[in-house]
Parts: sequence; C-alpha cells; structure tokens
Amino acid sequence: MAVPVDLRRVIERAKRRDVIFVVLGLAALAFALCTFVALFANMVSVGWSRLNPDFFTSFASRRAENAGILAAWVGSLSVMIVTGLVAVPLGIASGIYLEEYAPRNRMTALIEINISNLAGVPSIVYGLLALGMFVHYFQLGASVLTAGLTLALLILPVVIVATREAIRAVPGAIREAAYALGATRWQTVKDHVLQYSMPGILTGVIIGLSRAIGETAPIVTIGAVSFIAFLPPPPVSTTFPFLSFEWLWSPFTAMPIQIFGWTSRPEEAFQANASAAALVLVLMTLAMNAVAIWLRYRLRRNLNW
Amino acid sequence: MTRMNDERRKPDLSTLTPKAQVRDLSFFYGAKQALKSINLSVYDRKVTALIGPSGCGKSTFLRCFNRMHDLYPGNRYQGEIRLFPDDVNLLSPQVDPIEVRMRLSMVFQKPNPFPKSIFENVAYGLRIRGERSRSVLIDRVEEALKGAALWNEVKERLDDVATTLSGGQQQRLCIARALACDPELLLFDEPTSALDPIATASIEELIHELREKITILIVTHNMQQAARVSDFTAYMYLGDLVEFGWTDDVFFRPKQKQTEDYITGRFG
Amino acid sequence: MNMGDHLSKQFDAELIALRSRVVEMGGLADEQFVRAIEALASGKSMLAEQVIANDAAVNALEVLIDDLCAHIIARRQPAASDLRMLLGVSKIVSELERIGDKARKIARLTHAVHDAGVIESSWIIDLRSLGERARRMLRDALNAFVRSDLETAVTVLRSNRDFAKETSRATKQLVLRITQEPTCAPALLDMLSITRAIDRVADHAANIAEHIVYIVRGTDVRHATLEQIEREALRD
Repeated sequence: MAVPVDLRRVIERAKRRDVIFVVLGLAALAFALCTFVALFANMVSVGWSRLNPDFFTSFASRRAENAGILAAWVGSLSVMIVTGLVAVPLGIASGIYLEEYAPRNRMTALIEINISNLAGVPSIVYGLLALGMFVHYFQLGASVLTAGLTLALLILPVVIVATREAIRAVPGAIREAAYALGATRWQTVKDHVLQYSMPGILTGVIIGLSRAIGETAPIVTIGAVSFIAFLPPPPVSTTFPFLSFEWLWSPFTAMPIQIFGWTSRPEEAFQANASAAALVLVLMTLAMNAVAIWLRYRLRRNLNW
Repeated sequence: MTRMNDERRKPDLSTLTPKAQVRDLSFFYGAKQALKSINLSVYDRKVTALIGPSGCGKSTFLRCFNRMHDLYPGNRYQGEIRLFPDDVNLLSPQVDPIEVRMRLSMVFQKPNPFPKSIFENVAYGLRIRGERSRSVLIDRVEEALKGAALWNEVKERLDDVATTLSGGQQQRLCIARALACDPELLLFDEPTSALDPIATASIEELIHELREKITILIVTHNMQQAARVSDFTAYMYLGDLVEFGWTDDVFFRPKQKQTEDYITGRFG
Repeated sequence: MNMGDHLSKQFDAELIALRSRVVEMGGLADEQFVRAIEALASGKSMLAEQVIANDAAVNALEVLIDDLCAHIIARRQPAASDLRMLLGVSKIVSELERIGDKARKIARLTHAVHDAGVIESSWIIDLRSLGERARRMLRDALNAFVRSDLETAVTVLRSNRDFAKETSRATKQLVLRITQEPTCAPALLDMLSITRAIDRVADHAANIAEHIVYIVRGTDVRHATLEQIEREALRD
C-alpha cells in the first residue's frame, strides 16, 4: 500500500512512543514485582527453617525454638469465622436492600456516601469504637466475639459496596424479563439478580476477609494478647445441645499480633519465627483468594455470560 | 357497484370482539407527557401493529399494558385500559401489577433469556405461578417450546444454558417462556430488530401461527414487517394516535396525510 | 395527490422520470392520432407512412415504462399513493399503446379509402370532426394525469358517454350508404372500421380517466356507472 513519506514518519514517531510506554510500564511492573518477590524471598529465607509441624502445634514460648503459632492461627480462624458470619449476611442483605428496595432520595444518597466513606476510616478508630461499645458497654470483654464483631464492622462497607456494584452490573433486561413474567421483587432478586451478582459479591467478601485477617490495630485495641498459652474451648461439647458457644467469650490472640510480638523481641531467633508466621499468614490469605477465584470461576462458568 | 366499498372484503368492525380497549390513555414521565389521550381497540385474536417514528410513544404505549412503568419512579397513567372478558381496568391502582403481568406476557427487543438452562427458562413463569409438579412442568415446557417452533431444535439439550442458542433461537425461547404462562395478550416490543433476516422471517411465521389462538400487539419500526404480519395497524406520532385501521387500508389508502407521508417515506 | 418529496431523493428522481416518460408516450400517441386523422382528411400518404412507422416507438415506450415500474416496485416497496401511481401508470400505458395501434390502423385504412376515390369529401369531414373530438378527450385525459385533476377526468368520462351516441349515429349513416351504394361498399366498410377505431380511442381515453381516479382515490371505478364515479371522484 502506498503511503506518503511524511505520513510514514508520523507513524514511526507514534510507534516509538508506543514502545517507550511499553518499556516504562514493564519497568514499573518489574519494580513492583521485584519488591514483592524480594520481601517474599526474604521472608522465606529467614523463616523457612522454622516451618515444621511443631511450629503449627506449639504455643508461644520464651524460647524461640519452641515457640509456635498454634494459638495464633486458631485465634485468627475463630475470629474470621465470627467476622464472616456477621459481615457476610449483614453486608449482602444491606447491599440488596439499598440497591433493590430503597427509594432513590436524599436519605439513601446520604447513606451511600457514608458507607463509602466508612471504608476509608482508619482501622484503629474501629478498635476504639469496639473498646467503648463491645468491651465495656456490652460487657463482652476482650473476646473472640468482640474481635469478630469489630472486624465485621470494619469490612462491612467493603461487602456492601461490592454487593451493590455487583447487583448494579446485572443487566436490566434480565430484571424486566423476570418482572414481565409476573415475578415479585424478591423473586426477581432471589432467582436472578443474586445468581448473576454472586461472583462479584464473593469477590467483595473475600477482599474484605483478606483485609480483616491481617488487621492488627483494632484487635490490639480491644485487648487481644500477644502471649497466650491456651486455646479457646472447642465449639462442640459432649452434652446437649452438642454445640458450645463458650469459645466466643474466650480471650485469644491472632496471627498479626503474634508476628508483631515476635518482631519486637531482640533475639534473632524470634525474627525467624516472625518471618515464618508472616509467611503462613501470606499463604493463608493467598489460600482464601484462591478459594474465591475458584468459586467465581465455577459460578461464571455456570452462568455463562 | 361492487368495488367501491373496500370494507366488504373484510368483516365489519362491529362483528369483532375487542380483547382490550384503550380509553383516553395519557402517560407522563414526570412532567413530560408521552402519550396524549389515546383511544384504541385491540381486537381478539388479531395482530395489531403499532408503527411510527422514534419517540412517537409506541413502546411507551405497549409497556402501559403490563404496567412495566410501575417499576420505575415518577411515572403516571391517566385513562383506562380495559381488558375483556371481565372488563377490568389494567391501570387502576387497585389492580395489582403482578396480576396484570401474570395475564399478559411480553417479548422484548433484545432476546433476554435467563442465564439458566433452556428448561428452567421456560419453566420459570410456571414456577412462580406455584406449579411444583415436575411432570406438569415437563409437559407445559414441551408444549410451549412446540408453540414457539423451537422444540425440535432443543429437545435433546433442554439442560444446556440458554445463552448457547443463536439469536433467533433465543428470541423464540423468550416467546416460549411467554407462551408457557398462557397469556391472554402477547406483547411484542420490536421483537426482530436485533435479528438477521432469516431469524426475523421465522419469528414472523410464528406470529402468524400464534394469532389464531392469542391476541397479539406488536410494536415495530419496520413498516414492511407491520404490513406483512398484522391485521390492524395503528400509526402514532409524538404521543398521538394518528390513524388506526385495517392494515390493508392503512398501507393502500391511508386516511391521514401524516400516515401517508410516513408510510411512503416522505419523512422519517 | 401527494407529490411531496421522499426522504430518498433517488426515489423521487425515479418517480419523476417515470411520469415524464408517461407524458412523453402520451404526447407521442396523441401526435400519432392527430396525424392519422390528418392523413385521412388530406389523403397525404406520406403522413400515413409516418404514422405506421412511428408505431414502433410507441410500443417501445410501453415496454420501457412497464420495465421501469417493475423495477421501482421491486426496489422501493412502495406503499399507498406511490403504489397506486405505479399500478395506475402501468394500466394507462397499456391504453396509450392501444391508442397508438388505432392510429396505425386508421393510417393503413386511409390508403384504401383514398385509393378507391369514391368517397365524398363531406363524409371525410364528418370523420375528421369525430376524430378531433376523440382527440380532445385524449388531451384532457393526459392533462388530468399530469395535474392529478379529477374534475377533468370526470369530464372525459362524461364526454365519452355522449360521444358514443355520436359514433353510433355515424355508423348508422354509413350502413345506410352502403345499402344505397353497394359499389362503394369496400371503401365504406373501411370507413366503418375507421369510425370504430375513433370510438375506441375515445374509450381508451375514458379508461385512462378511470385509472386516474384509481391513482388519486384508490377506488377501482372500472365498471361503475357515471353517477357513482362522479360521486366518488368529486366528494369532499
């Protein structure tokens, strides 16, 4: 194809700029990746030696070699369960109500703005709130329950916003089709909207939980300890009704606290512990994300949109 | 003289039963009046087409029938749409829109099957009407798919997701979904404007077959389609009903100059 | 009649071209008929030859115009007034072709009539005036087409009714003469044929007027009485 010479030069110039941007982009990406890889590698190299079954099954100890994360990961898990059970239903239901049912007026617009803002409130503020309200006013103490509720409040805005966004992405055509058949609002939401938006909602939930599992400030504020030598009581009991809720009221510790506690110790050995624990925490988060990604993939495949 | 009176070739209007009668229907989007005092009869088991340029209000008019405007805030109806044989005003605030939508079904412009299996798509309408029996659902789904001329193409894969069908098949699926509910009036909102000519032709064939059992109201921006498919044509312009009559007359000897202009392409 | 512009300028141009062809053909048929009557009146065989030769042009126009109509219908899917116009034009053109045929027939017979040399000039004059009246009807019909003028069309139809009486009278006279002067019979019979041809031309003009009513009103008045047609055409 015959292209005039000056046009060709213009094209060359544009292409060069294209290449420059690609190079810059790759450099930025490389920087970010290298940073992460470096941190990760450092963590692995320092803490790898400590990763053995004992580490997972021992309590913390003054002697670094014997110290383990048993209390920490059990504590984190228990707190996450409470957080999840509180934040997910509340968040999704709120999101559904706000998006599908609430009338569009100034009041709801105000609520929407506030929820988005809440997502940006520093987590320590939640800790202070929890201290005053849950620990002292409701007398729940520095327990798994308190921590769970606190973190649930923390991630609630994330879940609500993610739910609303996911619901908003459902094409109006599907809704109209359902309504035109004579479905009520709830039938439309339950049978169609939720199905469509579940991947998006799940993403939001996992983002929230991933954030919660790593939060230190609020749970420190409410009184999680960094040294604890016992586990919360088991959730099952031998007597009727075979379910015990005692573990909710138990004092606890969590992974971030344990890590922080160890890094503040001068001994080298504890640094290794801290690195190992951090590695476990990262892997736990990655595992949660992987579950989320898998769930989303399965749901998207079924929906086929 | 035998050929002066065209009406002789067609039955006299007074011998036809109306399925629905629109009386002084006006409609407001907030402050803006979209429909101006429309009076129209929709005759039983006949196809009535609504034509007119964009923005004339034909889709707005159609969506009044099944109260779709109720889903969005700020809309107001005035006037009546009476549905026969029980002579109920569909627009009355005392009448539940859900009930109205259970009696009338709608097929939309862009095919919008649910992202579920073909079977579930057609069965959904029946499920929300309380049908639980699996065998009844299977029978009704088959009947509806046959009525939509889709059964033979999908009978082997009822559990496949509906979105794997072609555009024309998806639209026929939507028609089957609408038919499964035994509607008294079938509303088509530009059903073929998103389809290729062959799919369009198959839908038009289907409409031709359906008209013997069910009353159909179809909005189309394609005049030739209205001419091919309908018994009656209504021409609308800027919210007014300009002319209504037998399709043969409207396309051969329209009474209003506005209609003539639109149909002969003297203005868009 | 709606003559407003279509959105498609191309379509407008096609319709205008079609109508002008019809006018051209009308003019040609009219000219043919005039010449044929002139040839009859004056005996100039040159004129008669011309008429006979030009008939091919008339036929060619008929074919052309019908072809144009078919293509416009195929391409444009015309509706309402446009459709009626195309259908009407097709019929009008057919009438014009037959008028051309009658002109040629008259031209051919002219030879025979004058060769026999037995015809009195007064009889020729009679035929000439009949021819001129028929020609006037044709001109009126063509004008009515160009202007979509229903009043003129009805006038043509009225004239045709009266004209039929005239030609019938002329025919009777000719028959009388044949009985009186049997030796002139062949020439007189030719004149009878010419009278008939002139009568047919008037009929064709009347048919054209009926087609014009169809185009403008959409009503088929081909087998209606004059009163019914008047009512239909001149209402509102």
